[in-house]
Formats: sequence, C-alpha cells, structure tokens
Amino acid sequence: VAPSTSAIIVVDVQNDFCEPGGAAGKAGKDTSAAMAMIPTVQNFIEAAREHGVNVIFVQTIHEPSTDSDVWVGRRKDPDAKNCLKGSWGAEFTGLTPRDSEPVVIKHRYSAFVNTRLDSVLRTLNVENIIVLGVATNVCVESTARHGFMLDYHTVFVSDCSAAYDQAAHDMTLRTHQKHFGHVATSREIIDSWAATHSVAASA
Amino acid sequence: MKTLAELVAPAKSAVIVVDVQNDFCRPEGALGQAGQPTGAAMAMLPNLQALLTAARANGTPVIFIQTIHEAATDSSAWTWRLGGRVGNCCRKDTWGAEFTEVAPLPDEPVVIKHRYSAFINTRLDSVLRTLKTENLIMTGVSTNVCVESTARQGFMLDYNIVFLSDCTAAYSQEEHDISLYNMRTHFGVVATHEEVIAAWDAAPALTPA
Repeated sequence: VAPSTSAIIVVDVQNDFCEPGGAAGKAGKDTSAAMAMIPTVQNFIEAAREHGVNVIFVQTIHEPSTDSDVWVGRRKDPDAKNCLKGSWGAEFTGLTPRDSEPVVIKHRYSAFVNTRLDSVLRTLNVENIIVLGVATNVCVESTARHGFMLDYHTVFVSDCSAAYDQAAHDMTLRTHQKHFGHVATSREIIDSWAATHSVAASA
Repeated sequence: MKTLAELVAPAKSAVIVVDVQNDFCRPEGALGQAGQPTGAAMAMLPNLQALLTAARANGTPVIFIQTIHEAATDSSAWTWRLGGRVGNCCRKDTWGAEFTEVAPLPDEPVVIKHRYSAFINTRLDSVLRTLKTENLIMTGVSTNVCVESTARQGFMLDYNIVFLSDCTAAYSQEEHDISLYNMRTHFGVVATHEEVIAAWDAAPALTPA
C-alpha cells in the first residue's frame, strides 16, 4: 500500500445504493450497514489525501444506451432502475471528489468493464489498488476480482465496504483473502501509510 | 426475465467447462495434496458428463477452459497472492493440467487461461461471438473462484448466465452456497443439470435438425 504506487478506489457510494430513500432502500434492501460506514469512509479518504495516495471515485450511471437486454433482464422487474443519469440517486453519499481526483463512470458491476479505469491507473503508475464501497459482494467484489486478474495487487477494506446481507459481506472478505489479495481495516492501512512516511523521514 | 428453455436454447447457448483438471479435482492433484477437499469436485463429474452427453446430442456447443501456468504468465501480483503455496498448479505439459474424466471432441474449442476468469487475456469472447452465443451454461471448479469469476465477467459482457449448482464444486459447502446466492441474486439463473436437460427435451423445436 505504498502511497505513490497505490490508489483507493471508492465504488458506488451513491444515494441509490446507500440512502434508505434510494432505489435499493426503497426496494427493501437493508442499507443500514452502508450508511453506518460513511464516516469511516470519509475519514479514510481524508487520510489517503494527507498521505498522497491517489483517490479514484467510481460512479455508476445508467442510461438507455447502456441498458442492454442482458443487463435489464437480470431483474424480474425490468422497470426497477437505479443511478439514472442526472438523478439524485446517482449522486455520491456524503463524499465529494476534489477537482484533481478522477471520477470513473461505469454501467456494469465491475469498474473495469467498459471504462477508462485501467488506463487511469496505468497513467498514474498505480500497482496496488485499495478497494472499498458498496455492495461488498457485488460491485466491490467484481471490481476487486477483475483488478487482481489485471495484475494489480489488491487490498479490500473491510470496514469501508458494506453489503445488504452480513453473511454475503463476510464470505466476500474470506474469498478475497484466500484467493485474490489482502483484507485490512482502514486503521491498519492508515497506520501502514504513517509508518512508510516515518521510514522515509528517517532515511 | 427469459425462461430456462430460452436461456439454454442450443443455437444460442454454450456449455462452459471451467478447470476440470487433475490439479483441481483429483485428491492426487496440487490442491488435494495441499489439503483441499476435492470430494465435491469428483462427486459432481457424473452430472457434468450427463450434461455434456445431452449437449452434444442436441448441438449445444461445448467449450473447455484449461488453466495453464508458465513463467511467462506468473506476474508479481499473481504469484504474490498465495506466497507460492500452489505454485506447482496446472503447469504446462504436466499431468495436473490434464482434464479429469471429461475430454474435448476434436471440434470443441479449448480456451487456455492463466487467471481465474476465462475472459481475462483469452480468446473466449471472440470464440463466443463467432458462435453467436448469447447464453453461458456454467460448470466446473471451483464454484466461487474460477467459475464465479468467469460468470461475473461473462454477465457484464452481456451474456445471460445459467449457473449449474450440481455441475460445479468448491472446496467447502459454505463457499459453494454463497457463490450460488451471489449468482442467483445478481448475475443470472441457478439450475441443476436435470433442469437444463429437461428444458432441452421439452423444446425439440429449438434443436437444429
């Protein structure tokens, strides 16, 4: 997680996935875990900025030009839309990217499918990705799996990710630790950044 | 949502057999020797064989995915993940890399991969587009790693996913079950091989003459 070659990737922390009044909440999903972790995510992003770690926001935006038959057909209710372009539901929840921080728009679960994320990371010379956001077992896990298979070292932030189901959240972390990379808390990562800096300062 | 019969229609579907290889399935293979229980993998093979027999009879393409590792694909991120614990898995030209109790027919494509997902750095998407495949019938090992990674990516590349609960296997029941939960909830349809074969049998009009 060395700062200059690392990036934190904030996945889908958007009203439709987090707020009780968003699309997932209205559809009966339990968004309490997502809402509860927002302060931890805010603190983690601030720490990343302080230590010079790249911060990349991933934002899901759906519109007719990306609503393929397969994609829309995954749900029993084809009218159950979320994160529509220009809507409140698509806005970030409690987070605001700085002007210098890239926002990568996606329209599938993985932030690497049909997006510029790989190009952005290669441009920034990023070797390690630190993934977090919602939902742990869907968009964050799909992104983490994909990133690892594109040869990024991948760290999953356990307390900055949330699912709508605790068992699914826990199994994602277990699978990630076993097959894809590391799982760490935000505190462990922040401490390692601080240690890296003190090593650099004493050198 | 489409019906199961539509999702397995022979002209628009393909059976994807992921990593049914000695190092992943047999107790004498690399994972078995590393202490992973391979019993579920060996136990599901008769189901898979029945599925392949039915698929070949009605003209549904069968595509074999084979993991082959060699120095040229052992990147830093890849080898770092397990500290070299199964660094002897599916090496090129070894017994461990050979298929287990299934074998491609001469006209069935074999797609070589070196990561978990069969779409990463492979020709699978090209093969499927050439065959005009719209639906993937997912089988193989392990449920929650290579089969799930492939199904996730396939869905996001706009293929419908039919994930077979009894033609896949993991190294624990809990991992297998959560993977099926993820597939059913977010990525596609979960079915048994008998349900797929019944859907094929019930729709002979969809079978090429």
